[in-house]
Amino acid sequence: MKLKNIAAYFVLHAKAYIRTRSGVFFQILFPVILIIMFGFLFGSSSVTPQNLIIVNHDNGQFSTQFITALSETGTFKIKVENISNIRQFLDQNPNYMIMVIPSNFTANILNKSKVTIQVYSNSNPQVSSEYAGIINTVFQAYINSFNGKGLSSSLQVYDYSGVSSRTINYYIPGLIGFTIISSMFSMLYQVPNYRREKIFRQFKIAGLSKSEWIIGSSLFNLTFNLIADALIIIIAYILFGAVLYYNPLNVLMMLIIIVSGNLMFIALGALAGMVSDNEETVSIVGNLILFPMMFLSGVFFPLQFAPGYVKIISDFLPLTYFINALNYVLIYNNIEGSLYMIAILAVSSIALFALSSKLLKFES
Amino acid sequence: MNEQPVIVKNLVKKYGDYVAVNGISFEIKKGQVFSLLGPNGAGKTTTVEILEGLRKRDAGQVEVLGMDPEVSKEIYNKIGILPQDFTFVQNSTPKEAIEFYCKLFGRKLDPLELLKTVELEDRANVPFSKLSGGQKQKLGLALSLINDPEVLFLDEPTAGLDPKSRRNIWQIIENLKKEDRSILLTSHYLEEAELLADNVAIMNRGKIVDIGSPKELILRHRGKDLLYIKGGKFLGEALENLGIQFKNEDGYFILGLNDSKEAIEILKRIDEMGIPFDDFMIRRENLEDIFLKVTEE
Ligand SMILES: Nc1ncnc2c1ncn2[C@@H]1O[C@H](COP(=O)(O)OP(=O)(O)O)[C@@H](O)[C@H]1O
Ligand SMILES: [Mg+2]
Repeated sequence: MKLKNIAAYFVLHAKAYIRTRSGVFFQILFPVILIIMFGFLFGSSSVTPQNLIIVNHDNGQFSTQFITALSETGTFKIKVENISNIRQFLDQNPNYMIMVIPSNFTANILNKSKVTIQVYSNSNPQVSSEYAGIINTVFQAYINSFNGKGLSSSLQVYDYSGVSSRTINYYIPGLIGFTIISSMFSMLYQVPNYRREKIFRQFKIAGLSKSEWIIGSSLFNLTFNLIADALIIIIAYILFGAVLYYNPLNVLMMLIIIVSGNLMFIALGALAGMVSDNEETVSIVGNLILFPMMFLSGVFFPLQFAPGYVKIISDFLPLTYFINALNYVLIYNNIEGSLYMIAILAVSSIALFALSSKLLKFES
Repeated sequence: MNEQPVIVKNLVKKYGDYVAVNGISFEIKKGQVFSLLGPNGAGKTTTVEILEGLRKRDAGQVEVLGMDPEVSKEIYNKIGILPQDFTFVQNSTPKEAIEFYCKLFGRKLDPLELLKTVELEDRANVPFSKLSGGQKQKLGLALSLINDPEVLFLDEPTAGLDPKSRRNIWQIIENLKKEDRSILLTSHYLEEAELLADNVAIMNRGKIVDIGSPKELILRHRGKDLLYIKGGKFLGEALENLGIQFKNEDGYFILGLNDSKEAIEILKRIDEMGIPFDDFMIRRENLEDIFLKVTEE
């Protein structure tokens, strides 16, 4: 694989692509219009607060502080109570979550030893894991506020503003997913077209390899995706006050997610394009991929109320990982929790890339 | 270096049970234009694409610049290819296409200079989809020249073009010939082969029916010169009375001649019999007649 060849294809394709204004429209303007639309329709509304019962075994000041911090997010309707049989309670009240603060909470913070809390839920795992993610974010931020500081200054400013209850936030990962899907479609159309028109053969004669072509396409689409994604985030922030985590580490993670997601969907598009030998099959295959993904990965429709098997299918969709990973990184600031998803994304994107460049034939 | 840049021996290619190329052999000498001439479906493209390493042969030997195209991919640095029905990325311009090829081949060329050699410099920035058929072919020719190839494969470079563009492309090919490149040109236009080729192989149904210079082919296959006389039924009766064999086609009576003087003899006798005739001409068989003859056999 030669960088120079990839760059040559990048330039060729970029110039040809920019000449097709409709393509540029779909790849950049369309997601921007969507975020503005979502923003105006739902941006100002808030997520319904989740019922949270806190069982506090700790008598110290810190647990109280932590509870206050949590309630300030506006995401939870908090009651502090003592519940003896958690399991039984949740069976009777499935829409509640329970958080347990252990008796050594304050002491452990003072000793600088490990502090743990427990969260219990009995409802839709996807929803509850989102809320658990929020709790975790606040918890981490709270614990971090002690790092390297004297305990006398116990009233630290801790940043949990990222855990905003604004709905606009929740549309951002989905729309980033949308931009990535659109690059899959460009491959789905290009592969049968280039093969039929024997353009692949021209590439082969000139010495452009299959993997160079796929990487070149991926890089080109990535460029457009990143522009669109940056616009989505900026518009969501300026117009609708979206609050995301943008620390260097979060941004880096976001880039890794977008790069692997891009490569993965480019490779998927190439694979799908290989089985579509004419224009009709292209649109059938396209819809076969697009619709389940849109409905089942929670891009446009939350899966809270979907039946269990739908969620199982959803767990196997690459887009689900992509969007969940972005949620964890950008909204819950839970990088540790996102690592396994990012690993799955990265590994499967490389595997799919290898598979597609092996299976792709420049000639029919 | 290679005095015989292209050598083909007993080449066979099958598609399933169908034998598209059936044991053909030929050689192309350095600096020569060699034409594979044949009707559609004769197996020309199949042969050319085997030589280009784009299809696999079933039997026989093939050597291009001393290499086996099926194995040696470095061949693409030394050969130029204009495929049949050449197309490129629809929204790319000729200039961009050339720049792309230059980068891939690692060549430094001025795109406009190259476009000048194919008389396309004024269309340098027009998207491929907006070029005429002839202009597309010219771009294909330009791209085939980027790596300064020793051997050029041109598969029906003028098929479907109007006469003016066709002549235009012939001129370009003649110029390439002067640059001492070896050219394999397939065509189903005899005029093209007669004008450009040093050697012609007439191909039909996967076989080479005959091979030689255009002149040799004409000499070998030329039948009698033909006398065409236009006239009515009296003329026919008169010819019958004279015991002369003839065919009747489009109002012309066509007679085979042993030599040109015979024509004067026949016309004189008809005239003496007082039979009216409107018109007459003598036609010599050209490559086209021979082509039709050998491909019909
Ligand atoms: N890929 C293929 N699969 C099956 N048959 C083919 C294929 N390519 C060509 N043929 C058949 O082989 C014969 C020769 O084709 P081709 O080499 O294209 O002839 P030409 O270029 O002289 O018109 C034709 O009958 C054609 O239908
Ligand atoms: Mg052909």
